[in-house]
Amino acid sequence: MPIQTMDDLYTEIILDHFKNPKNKGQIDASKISKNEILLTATEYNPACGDKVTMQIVIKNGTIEKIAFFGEGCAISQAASSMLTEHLKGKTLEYLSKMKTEEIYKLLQIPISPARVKCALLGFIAVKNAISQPTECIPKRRSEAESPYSHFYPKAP
Amino acid sequence: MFNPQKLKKDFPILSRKINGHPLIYLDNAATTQKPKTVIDAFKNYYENSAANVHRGIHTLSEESSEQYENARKKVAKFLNAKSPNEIIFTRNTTESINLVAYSWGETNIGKNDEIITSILEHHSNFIPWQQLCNKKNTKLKIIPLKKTTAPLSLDISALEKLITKKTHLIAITGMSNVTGEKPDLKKIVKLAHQNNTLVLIDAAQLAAHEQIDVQKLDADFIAFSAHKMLGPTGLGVLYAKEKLLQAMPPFLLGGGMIKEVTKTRTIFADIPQKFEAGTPNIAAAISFTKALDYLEKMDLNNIQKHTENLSRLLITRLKKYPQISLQTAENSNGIVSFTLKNIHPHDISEIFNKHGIAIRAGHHCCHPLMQDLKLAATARISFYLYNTEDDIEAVCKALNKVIEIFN
Repeated sequence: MPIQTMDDLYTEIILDHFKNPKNKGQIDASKISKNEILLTATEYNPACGDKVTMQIVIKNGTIEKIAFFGEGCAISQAASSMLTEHLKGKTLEYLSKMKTEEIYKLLQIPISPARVKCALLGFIAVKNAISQPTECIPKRRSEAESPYSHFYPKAP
Repeated sequence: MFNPQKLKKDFPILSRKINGHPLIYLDNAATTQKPKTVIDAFKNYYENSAANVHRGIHTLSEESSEQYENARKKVAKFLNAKSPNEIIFTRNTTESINLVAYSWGETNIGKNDEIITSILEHHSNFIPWQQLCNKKNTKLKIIPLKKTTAPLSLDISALEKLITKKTHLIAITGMSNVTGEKPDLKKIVKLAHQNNTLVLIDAAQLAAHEQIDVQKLDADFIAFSAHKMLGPTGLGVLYAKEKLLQAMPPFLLGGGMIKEVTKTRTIFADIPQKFEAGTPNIAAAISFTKALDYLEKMDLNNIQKHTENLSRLLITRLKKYPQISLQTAENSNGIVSFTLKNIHPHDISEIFNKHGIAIRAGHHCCHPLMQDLKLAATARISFYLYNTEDDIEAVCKALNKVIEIFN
């Protein structure tokens, strides 16, 4: 196996997103308007205790706002930051069909098995936000009701 | 006799290269490497005397039974236990503690009883007691940290206030796997026994760094793992006073732990077999004796002094970095935890690995402690007998690289 160098992983773009993350912070739930829906979910990395929370605001089936917060290594933080930029303006359908390979494409670095969870932490959180959100505003009328049924006809 | 540079050759893995660099293994608190004598004994069992124990009337079974029971005697002697009956082989420290929680705990802990543990605990000496207390609708009391900043230290004076007539058990670490702190066990045991309270010691780290004399220490339960003291994985030890073990119901049920079974009842075997249901890890028990031989030859007192010196030296070097915060106890002899401002421990570990240096990054299975420290993770360097001052030089070189990449 070829020997990886430090620069393979900690590229300028990764370090830039780590030091100056995009869309980092919390979305103000009180500012969600009637035709919007705010979905939140958190994913954990049990190996290191890291966690990333992803929030998306959906309007007419499109991701209008996206934000993340939490603690993590350079890889998980950069991947979450890049993912938020990538997803802004995309449809829910796009997100529900999105595959892990696309995260690796965004990152453009070799991900060793030990760092897979770091790379995917934010991605799993945002996927959870649409399939099993920990918080949904406005509240669902019933548990059985899909949180975004009125925007997105088929549950993923 | 004790020469860290020379004894490296006894450990085959230490000649390995990682990412083009000679391996520098500094994750000994997670598991230690094994000397060739241990590996050979493991191999020899499977090549020459593999058979189940306590069953067959044939040469191989007799040999393996004898070697397995000799391992128990060896462990008993190593710990200065009164009898080999006080030694139960388990899978690991976690299973040893769970055995006590399920067997002794389920029988002896009721609604108005209390258990005390500490904030330093590894999950293996925390969750079993937390869940037991939740189930029994009783309270788990936790010895906190002293409110001072570094160096970290457990507030043992709080124990005097926490302990009451209702306290049945103090479950405490002998050496923290994060801060390296070694609580004053003699004092704790004395205080506990004055209050008719039992003491369980999680000695997963301590057993590798200090010669334990169970009679002098007088603790009621002591749990540790072979693999953290040069032995193979898959073998744990539970030491417990004979009278306690006799009174306790079995933990796991099945083969090898009975005298007689009828359709409606079972008469259980005497200790220690009562607590060893199913085929044990025979190869691991046998090869563990070689690890204990090795530790005896090198003398744990020498090892203790050596890892203490390395810890002092490393701490002195780390203190020169203004970006570094230490999460390490004053009396740590072998474990040094630290964080680097604005750099996640995972990234430190990743870059260290590129230099062939293995360290641990994470919460070290100590979530409650991390919450109190307001940290998600730390980087941890842990020494053992084969580490040298050169390893510390390599650590500093790698640290400089980490800082260079991130700043």
